[in-house]
Amino acid sequence: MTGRALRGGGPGLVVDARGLVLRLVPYRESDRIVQLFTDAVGRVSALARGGRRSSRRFGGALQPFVLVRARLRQRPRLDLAELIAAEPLRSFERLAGEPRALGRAGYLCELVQVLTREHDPLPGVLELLCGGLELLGDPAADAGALLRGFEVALLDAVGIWPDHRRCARCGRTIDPGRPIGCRDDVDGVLCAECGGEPLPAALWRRLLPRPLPEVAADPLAEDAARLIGRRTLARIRTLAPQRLRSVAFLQQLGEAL
Amino acid sequence: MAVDPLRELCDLLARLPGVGERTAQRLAYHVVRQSPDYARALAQALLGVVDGVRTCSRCQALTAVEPCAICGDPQRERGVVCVVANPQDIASIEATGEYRGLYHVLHGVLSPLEGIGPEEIRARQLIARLPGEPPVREVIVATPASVEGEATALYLAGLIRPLGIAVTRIAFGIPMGGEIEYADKLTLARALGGRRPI
Repeated sequence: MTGRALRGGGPGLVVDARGLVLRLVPYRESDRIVQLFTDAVGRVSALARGGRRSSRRFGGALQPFVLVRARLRQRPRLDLAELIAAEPLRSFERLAGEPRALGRAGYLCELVQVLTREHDPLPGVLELLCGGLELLGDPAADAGALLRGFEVALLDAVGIWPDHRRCARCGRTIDPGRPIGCRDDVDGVLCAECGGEPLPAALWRRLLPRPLPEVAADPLAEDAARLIGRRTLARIRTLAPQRLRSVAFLQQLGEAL
Repeated sequence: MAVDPLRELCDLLARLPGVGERTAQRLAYHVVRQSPDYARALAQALLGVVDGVRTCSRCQALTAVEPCAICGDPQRERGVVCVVANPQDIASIEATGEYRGLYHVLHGVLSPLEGIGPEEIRARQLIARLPGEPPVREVIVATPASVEGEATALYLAGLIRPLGIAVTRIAFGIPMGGEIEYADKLTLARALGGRRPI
């Protein structure tokens, strides 16, 4: 079932999906508007009737950072879907142990909010997000490397990250055994023949989307994090020029992204 | 161009949380249909709230008098402070009749997605009042049972424990009358985690 089907499939269409609660907004006396990122329909906003009161219907499902099994219904003539039921599957409670972990988790969720379109099911993004939240609660994971790795993987998933396996100028496959180049005015990397400022192969690998556990187990030096961050953040700003709330939150805790 | 007062009222009502344009319109027409005395009393009450209600300098609750009725009550136990996220939580705890200590209102919980950081919650004011006379010996954290509520509780505990003050957290789990069969797994897991000897 695709997101297009939920929106265009007509009133009364019901979809079952797994999704992570991104945001909750109180609505009227006892309702809530819930924003979820789901595997079946991508990012979706839905009205949860009685969501502020009904513990029987939604239990502990309606809170940020909770993975739920959701039943959604398209409402006639309205953009907002209805959340008929939600059962909590998993809460990332280890995030609560450290405010910075919570802030970083907020950043991952906010990136998914601003970089994805509603009703656009993006394969792998829910797993990416849940994997990121899981690792943020793990004290052994390198948080800086994880955030950069998540940015790269998400930008790649939404289709706005250049293919760093190929030269941005001539299209040749990059050979990590030979010099790799980069230039500020070139989107991507350059092969040995096309030149550019030398880019270490270890850093080049960081520009490729990789599994998050692998990324988080490989600590990232501050200057390398800055270099990758310059590239990822420039792209994020093109889609989300506003200052992200989670970034301001982290700044209060002395962490700059 | 002259301002349409009815339109202006609709616009202002629509800015209230949970009120959409249609509800705002319905409320506005309701006010117009009532006697003028009702509208005047409503306007007066709104002004009264704006001019008369402030936060208590001690507990940060909303109050028309300084200090608030609870902080000013000599019968309250002054060595215990219950920390809540919102002013309205006080009424819920008071309704139990089980608590006789003081309160502290944070006006939110840590929430990166809502942009509420440590500077926005009133934790600084809490820390400042703890060594008072008599000094506080226990802080009960009654923030919501969510990841954000829990993070706030742990953040406060990290600030308070070094002062030699006990920090406790309200219990979470199966509600009164609730059946285990129908409890969701997160609630049940938390109830099991917080079990106590009987």
